[in-house]
Amino acid sequence: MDNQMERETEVGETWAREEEIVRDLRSVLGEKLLEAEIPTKRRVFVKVAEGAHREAISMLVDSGVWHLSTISGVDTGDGFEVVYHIFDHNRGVEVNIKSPVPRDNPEIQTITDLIPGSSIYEREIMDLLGIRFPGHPNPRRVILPEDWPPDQYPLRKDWKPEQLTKASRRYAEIPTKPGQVILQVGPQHPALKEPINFEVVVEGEVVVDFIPHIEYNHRGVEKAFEERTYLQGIYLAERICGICGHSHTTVFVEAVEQLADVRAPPRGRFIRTIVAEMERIHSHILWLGVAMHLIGWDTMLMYSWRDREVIMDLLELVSGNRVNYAMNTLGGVRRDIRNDQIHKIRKGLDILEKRTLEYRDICLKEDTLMKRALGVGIVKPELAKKMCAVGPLIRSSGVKTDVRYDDPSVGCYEELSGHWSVVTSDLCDIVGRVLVRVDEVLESIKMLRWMLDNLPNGPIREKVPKKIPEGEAVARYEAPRGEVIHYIRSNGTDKPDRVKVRAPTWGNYSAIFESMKGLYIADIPINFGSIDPCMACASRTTFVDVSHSKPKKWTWTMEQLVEYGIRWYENRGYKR
Amino acid sequence: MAWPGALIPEALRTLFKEKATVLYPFERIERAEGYRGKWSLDLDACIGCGTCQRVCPSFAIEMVETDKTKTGKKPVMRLDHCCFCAQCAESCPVDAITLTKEYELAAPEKEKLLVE
Repeated sequence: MDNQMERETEVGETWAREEEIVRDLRSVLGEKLLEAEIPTKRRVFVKVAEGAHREAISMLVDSGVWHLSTISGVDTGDGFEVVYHIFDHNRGVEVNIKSPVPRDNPEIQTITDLIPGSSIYEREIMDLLGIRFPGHPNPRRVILPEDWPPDQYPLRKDWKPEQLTKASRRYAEIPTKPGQVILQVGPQHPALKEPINFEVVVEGEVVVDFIPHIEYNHRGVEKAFEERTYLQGIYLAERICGICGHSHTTVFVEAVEQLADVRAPPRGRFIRTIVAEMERIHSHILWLGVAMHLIGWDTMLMYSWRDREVIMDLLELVSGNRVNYAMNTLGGVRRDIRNDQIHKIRKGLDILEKRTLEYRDICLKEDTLMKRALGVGIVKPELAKKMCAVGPLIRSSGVKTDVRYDDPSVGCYEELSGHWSVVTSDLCDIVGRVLVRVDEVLESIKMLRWMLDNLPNGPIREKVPKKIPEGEAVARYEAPRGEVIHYIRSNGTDKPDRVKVRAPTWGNYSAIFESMKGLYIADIPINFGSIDPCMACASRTTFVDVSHSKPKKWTWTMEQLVEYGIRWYENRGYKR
Repeated sequence: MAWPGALIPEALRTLFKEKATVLYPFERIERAEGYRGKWSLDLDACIGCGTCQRVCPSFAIEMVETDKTKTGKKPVMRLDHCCFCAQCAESCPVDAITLTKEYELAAPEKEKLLVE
């Protein structure tokens, strides 16, 4: 802490709010606060003694903190560490509470009673690292398949894919009362084109319980990061999501830049933000089309996707590709924006602004949307806060929170503050989510114009060493779907020790599944669609052959797939 | 007040506009300048240093024997692995690698996806 003070006076910045949090935590924990560090503005890392994390978190919760960004589990070799990333909205500081967990008895008390939204994150750590959370109300599998061998934890450092044994466990039965029926929605469902399966307990037409199976596409991205250098990791991060890939690379490179103590030059940060905002426009217009398609209004889908081509062409012009822009690199961006490109972007923005205003008008006037979606899928602000929802979902519940506004450490949002406003709606339903997104497109256009007007001159990138010094960093950014957070721990080599990714859809699951209860079956697709779900973001694995065949077959023929499918359903209790 | 048919004016306007799509195999849209398409190598410039292989995030580049370069190695690239990030082109010390505008890359056999 003393070193920290010295550094502050050198830089000349005051970190009063960060120090206040450390002081508060020290007064509650006393000796149990082992380490406290303020590596940069708006970030506090504290290490507490085993079992003291609950005291620290309940102190924060009592002082009005409600948002848990995520929980990371780290394998440190001789033990584990669980890191709680909590955002304090009043003081605008991300508090990272680290708590050690012994390896021989990996147990840590749950915090679901303090922050109910932590449930899904704790279950994720249970699956991937095998840490138990006594007191957890629903300790089911969530990110790995339920028939995954019970004693294999893929994110442990000593785990190798070769030791995977044959899957044995059966799927858990869902208890139903008389008169209730389990309805299977997905993974191949006509209204929901994403690999996710819901087991919906229904009574007549009304949803009683909602059990998601998210494990279909787990790609093991977090494990794959550990095998790649930081430079290669950027392109892997880009592929976590097909639509908001730039947001993932932004947080990844910002976290690595924090670790290397490098800040991208102003022009680089501006271009980074320009692409990010263009990506937001593209994502929101895409979502508008998809959502209207889900309620059966395909005319709107066609028109909005036609106009989305305008922004897609601009993105291709700037970055060289329609998706996966590959603009970010460590220390800045890879391509400069030329003046003739700026001219074209401005022209495109004029068209988009006109079109977006028209859509806004149509959406508000047209019966098709209002009669279908007004008052459907209500998420009250209390529920959204309790479940730590993010992005347009929580803003449409009237909670003014946006990472770009609360925590503008990424890109050039510090310069941008005052030139845009956070869009909220108090409708709390699907119409509210439509309006928030459409208005956000208009805000993004405003921000883009300001950035193009004020684009500073100078270099676009800074040199970053190959080997990143030891440390840990957290970067957050408001992706089109909500807060995305990367937690990176480095070990002094050119490869990261641990990269934890929390994509926005993962954060929105808890709230939206809760809001399903009481809806009609027909509302499931649009209500789920209203969070702009991105399955690929949310579940991240690799295809592993569990059959132990020699030689190892990594590709399955059609017959094998059919056989696997039949076995899978039989295992669940369905007979041919 | 909500009323049905708010889209009708827009639909009528569209009647007199040019169509938004192109008849793809017969007409093609020109890609933007700097488009990242098919990989290509200028073997005369290549020095065979292997940087491209080291930086490739999807392990698409392999070094094979050749007598054209100083080190006796040259890169070949498998299109089925490539993720078109152009990091190889950026890291190449002699600018021997470029990504062209060619984007129709499907082939019936895997062997045809090898670019030399």
